[in-house]
Amino acid sequence: MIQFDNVSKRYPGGHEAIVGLNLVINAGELVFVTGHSGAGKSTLLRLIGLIERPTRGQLLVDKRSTRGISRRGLPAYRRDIGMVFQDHKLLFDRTVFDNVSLPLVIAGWNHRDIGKRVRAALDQVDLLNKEKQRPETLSSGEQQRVGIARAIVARPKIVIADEPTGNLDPELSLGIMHLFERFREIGVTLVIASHDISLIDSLGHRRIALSQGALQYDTASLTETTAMFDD
Amino acid sequence: MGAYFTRHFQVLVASLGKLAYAPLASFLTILVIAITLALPAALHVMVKNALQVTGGWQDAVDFSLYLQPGLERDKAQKLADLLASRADIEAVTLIDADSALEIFAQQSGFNDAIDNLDGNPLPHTLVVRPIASLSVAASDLLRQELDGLPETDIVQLDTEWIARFQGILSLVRRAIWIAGGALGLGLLVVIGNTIRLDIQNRRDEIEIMQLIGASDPFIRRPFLYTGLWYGIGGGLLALALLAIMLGLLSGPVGQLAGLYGSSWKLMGPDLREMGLIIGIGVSLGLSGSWFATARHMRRIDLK
Repeated sequence: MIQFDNVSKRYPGGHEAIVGLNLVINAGELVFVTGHSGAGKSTLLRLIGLIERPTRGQLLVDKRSTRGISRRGLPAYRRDIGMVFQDHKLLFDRTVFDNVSLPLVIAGWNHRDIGKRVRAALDQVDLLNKEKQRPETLSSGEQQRVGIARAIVARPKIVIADEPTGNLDPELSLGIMHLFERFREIGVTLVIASHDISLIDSLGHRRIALSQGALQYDTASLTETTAMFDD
Repeated sequence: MGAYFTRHFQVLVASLGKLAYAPLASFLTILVIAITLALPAALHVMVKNALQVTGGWQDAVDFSLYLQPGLERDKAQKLADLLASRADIEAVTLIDADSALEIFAQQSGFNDAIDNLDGNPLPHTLVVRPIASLSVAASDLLRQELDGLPETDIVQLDTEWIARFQGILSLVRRAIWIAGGALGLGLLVVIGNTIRLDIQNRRDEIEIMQLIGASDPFIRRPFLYTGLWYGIGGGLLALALLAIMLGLLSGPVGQLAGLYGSSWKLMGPDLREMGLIIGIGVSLGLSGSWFATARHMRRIDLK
């Protein structure tokens, strides 16, 4: 589903955020990306969302090279990807309902279908009773869930989330992670950056660790490598 | 398709709501647009009125033919009859030297001074009225011909000053177009700048929209509608300002016209011109916001 072929990303200042990364994420996988801050977690997600472009190498999404996606093609590409941000990125002058419905409005859905979909998404994040409120009246955890509802409302094939539990207490964090596991069950590919290793390990999904922009280890290939040494 | 139009309508109303949310700022912007539109429009209306007045005078292209001093009255009368028989001349009036002096004495009040004169210094004068359909070129030829007559001293075209005045008016007209162009350019900057500030305030919103896959036209739409409202508001307010200006002038103009025994009234802009003023406002509003959004979306662009 997502394939990094020797991808490097150097920022204009000269900082090398991702160095020669090779990585394959299959459809329907839930992958955690860990590493210290500055290890390149966010850049990896930004590359998938085409917020950044690789300076070297190639990124394939859905068997298609992202190199051919022009500025014009960007919106259509992004509509297939749900993004969850650490700082939520909600619009504070609109209600919860209007925030969540935005991807559908952008895609040109009609009014009635939007209502159904938005309520279904809000139901999944347990915020159905808050649809008429404005984001600033909600707690941080609730705002994060609004952001998640917005990311999944258009049923994207891929969801990327950057520190979705960054500011939340352990109990809420676990709730949100279980929510992501539910999306995986319906076939969504998820890439989630987080530094909460104890939480991640307790869930037991594939984990990729980055260090200074390079792959430190990958629980998927680790077993492969071990198997090779066993030979 | 229905959803598309519904969406447009929603944005149309929402952008109006945003303006109402900051009434003072919106009003100031609209006022600037209105004044910028009203200035050239007012000048245009003035010129239009002036042309209307002087246009009526164009028919009266009389020549004053001052004959040689000392020419006998009989010869003057004979010349008058001769000229009156021409096809390109409608009428000739002889004002003989004596009656000219009498009229002058009456009108000038220099009675005593005139009484002291040895003789009559004034010549006989023929007022020649060409036919109305005479072209400018033909009228010029006639004038040369009259000038060439041995009896003629000086030929004066009474409408010369009207021609000059109309020359000035056409100059003013050209100046209005130039000033209007400059003001329009200024307007574009004003609207562009206002929208630019608006965009700066809504930077996050645009960024979020771009992140969740909104196309450029989708993001641009509310800003374009804001520009549209600015244009409509500015155009309507410009018409109101124009009406106030004309209202202030109509009293004195009526009095002046009354003094000349005329019932002439100031003309305001007609429907076509009103439409033009609003149309110009709208197109400036739209293009101003188009440029501002295009520039700023590229700057915010997340790529």
